[in-house]
Amino acid sequence: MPGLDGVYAGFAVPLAEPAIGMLAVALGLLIGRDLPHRVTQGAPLYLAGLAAGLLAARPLTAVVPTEPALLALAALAGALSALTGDRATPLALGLLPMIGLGMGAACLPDPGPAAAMLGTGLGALAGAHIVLLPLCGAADMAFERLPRGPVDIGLRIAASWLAALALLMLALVLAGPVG
Amino acid sequence: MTRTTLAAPLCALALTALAAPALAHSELAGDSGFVSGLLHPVLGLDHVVAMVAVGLWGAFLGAPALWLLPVVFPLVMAMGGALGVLGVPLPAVEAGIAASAIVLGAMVALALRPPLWVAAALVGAFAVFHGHAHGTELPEAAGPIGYSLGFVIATGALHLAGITLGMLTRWPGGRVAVRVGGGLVAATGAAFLFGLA
Repeated sequence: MPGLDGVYAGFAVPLAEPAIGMLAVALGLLIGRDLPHRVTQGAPLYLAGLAAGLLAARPLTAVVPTEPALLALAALAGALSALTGDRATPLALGLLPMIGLGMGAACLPDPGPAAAMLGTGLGALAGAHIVLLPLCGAADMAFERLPRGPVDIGLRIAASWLAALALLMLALVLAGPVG
Repeated sequence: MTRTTLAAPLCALALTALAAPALAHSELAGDSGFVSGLLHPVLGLDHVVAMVAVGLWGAFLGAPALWLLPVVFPLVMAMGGALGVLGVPLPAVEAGIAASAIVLGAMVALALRPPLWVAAALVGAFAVFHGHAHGTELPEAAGPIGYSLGFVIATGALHLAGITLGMLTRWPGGRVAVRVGGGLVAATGAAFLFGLA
């Protein structure tokens, strides 16, 4: 089927591009808290950002380099999740369109035949978002079934580690290759 | 299968697991950076005691410091690490690391309880020095991403060790032991600061 190979190739993009994978995990940690509110209120914001990112990917990535932008967003989302927990839903919601914009711009494939572009693009979008399901599900289930305190601390620490890692990778990208 | 016939392969398996791998180079051959990053905070005693002290002090202060300090530390440490990666100089890094052990250890030893924001600011200020020291070595690491991941995890594990030790404060005798531990951390920091270690 035309474009089917592209779906598989696109699906692997988040694995090959750590910045996309990290942003997806940061997004999961951000919306995994206070899940019902953040999903119902945040989904339209995120999807609007994602659509804008897909539509404006070419001019956007010409002005803003994709990898540093994704890492900066991952660091910001991780830090917000670590420091505010589930208490800053408006701030988290405000960040969602930006994350969607970055994710959309990163998932648009290089120019090529329409079927291949569609397949690769859909695969990349699916690959980048599939990680959200287990993450959000696990967080929600943990909050429901386990004592809230330790789950909250665990998620905050995971988010702070992710933010720290994203920040260091951002510095490495900005510093450029060694030698 | 009898117990005797099981014993030989199990012993062999155990010995195999204990055997050190033959490495082609002096340091961690084939390392993608992760192992180096994991070991870096653990191999420097000044780093170790300071990071354990963060967890110890967090446990000593109780919630919310219990989680806030180990959350603030890696975030600010990464900022210090970014400065190191980008080549931004920071004066007296080693002295800052030693001072972090002295001050944090003293906080535990003297059972001081400053306001939460003061504790977070203090821990954050010292985290910059630790991060900078790691960050300057990061670009030369075999795999910078693996190195970053390794040292962030090792840092978290050291905090966890401190928190676990700090849980002893639930008992009166444990409280004394934790304060003595804080004193040892401060003494170790002083030894590094004055070139005795």
